[in-house]
Amino acid sequence: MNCKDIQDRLSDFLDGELGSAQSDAFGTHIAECSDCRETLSRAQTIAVAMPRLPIEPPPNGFEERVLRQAAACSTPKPRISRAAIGGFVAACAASVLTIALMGPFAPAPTGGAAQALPFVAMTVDQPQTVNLVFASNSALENVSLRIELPEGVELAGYAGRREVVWRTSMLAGKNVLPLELVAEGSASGEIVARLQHGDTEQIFRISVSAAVG
Amino acid sequence: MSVSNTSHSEFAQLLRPHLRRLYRLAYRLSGSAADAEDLVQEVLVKVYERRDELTSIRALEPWLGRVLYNQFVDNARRYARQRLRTVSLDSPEVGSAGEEAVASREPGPDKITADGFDISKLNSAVAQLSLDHRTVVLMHDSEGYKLEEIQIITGVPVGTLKSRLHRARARLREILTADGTFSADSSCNSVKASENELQRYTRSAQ
Repeated sequence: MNCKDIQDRLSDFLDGELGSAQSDAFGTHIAECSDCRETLSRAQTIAVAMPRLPIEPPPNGFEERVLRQAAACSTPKPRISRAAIGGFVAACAASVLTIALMGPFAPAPTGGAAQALPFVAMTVDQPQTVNLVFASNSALENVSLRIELPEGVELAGYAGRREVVWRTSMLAGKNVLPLELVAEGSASGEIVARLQHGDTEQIFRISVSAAVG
Repeated sequence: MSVSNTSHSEFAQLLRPHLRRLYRLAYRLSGSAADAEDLVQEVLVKVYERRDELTSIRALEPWLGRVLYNQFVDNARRYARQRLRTVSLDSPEVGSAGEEAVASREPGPDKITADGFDISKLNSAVAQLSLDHRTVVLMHDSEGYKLEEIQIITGVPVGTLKSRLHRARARLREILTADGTFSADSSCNSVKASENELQRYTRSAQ
């Protein structure tokens, strides 16, 4: 075997799929070639690390929630109004809603009847993830993103905060911001998302209502 | 015959044992807990409508995996999107410039392998792979699916999957070499690993 043969058979070697003759030839070359030894060692390091790639555990109540909602959603019902600023995709899930908003710093829609706000219905004490999706025509650096919350609705991990600000960069295309919302009691109001880039600010509003389940 | 012979409790009993593995597959494909739950939810809604068929499916898990994979591909085509990487500007532990937040992203002890390899670098490298390569390397090398199982789930022939797996692994090595992850220090460890490998060959040849 030469170095190219080693490259070609490395994956099979890692998976234990080389026959004994090929395996011997592979070993003979590895013993003689430090470059191929290094390549093999790196491949083995990656192979050992791959099963350890991090994975977030599912959110609390995942199994019961998805099973319950499977029945509830078998006849899909939109959970947010269809008059979002730039259209939206509604996921039939109690925990995850997706709201697609017009791209940052595009001109606001003009003319026509006033459009209803996207609407999120929540149940008190049931965390709900809302994916806000911002479509951008170009990559943007140093974007400030401010989320303002109505009384009674909080972001998980930001207890007692009515306002949270992040700095972010946006890629061209659709950029998603997952918000994990928790309602502490019956509440209604607006979530306001303010995107600021340079001197330009764009504001998105989402109506939210929480009731006891 | 009623609308369905399979009750909700029977449906739950059939599906529950598979939910964690489905979630892991969904997570590997989508890259976030929220999207993974969303994906599993979409699958269950679809499957619920066909719940009378479930008891006649011999290998339910790969069948569910295939439904999930198809849903993921449909979603990806319809609705490509990228999660925003945010840096908090006002949490107490973070300075105004966000440098502390960057520092806090340094890998913890559980993210370093015994030979000093930084798993977060591997995570970033995997994210740079094409969808086809990422899918097969995550399913095979991270989740332990056999190529035959991945064929059932994705509908891609084993030969093609094998070729993609080979190229994906090679690409990961390229990325991690180019970004300096395989540094001089790690190559010391690598040499040790190679020496061990060499000794095994030498012994087996004797």
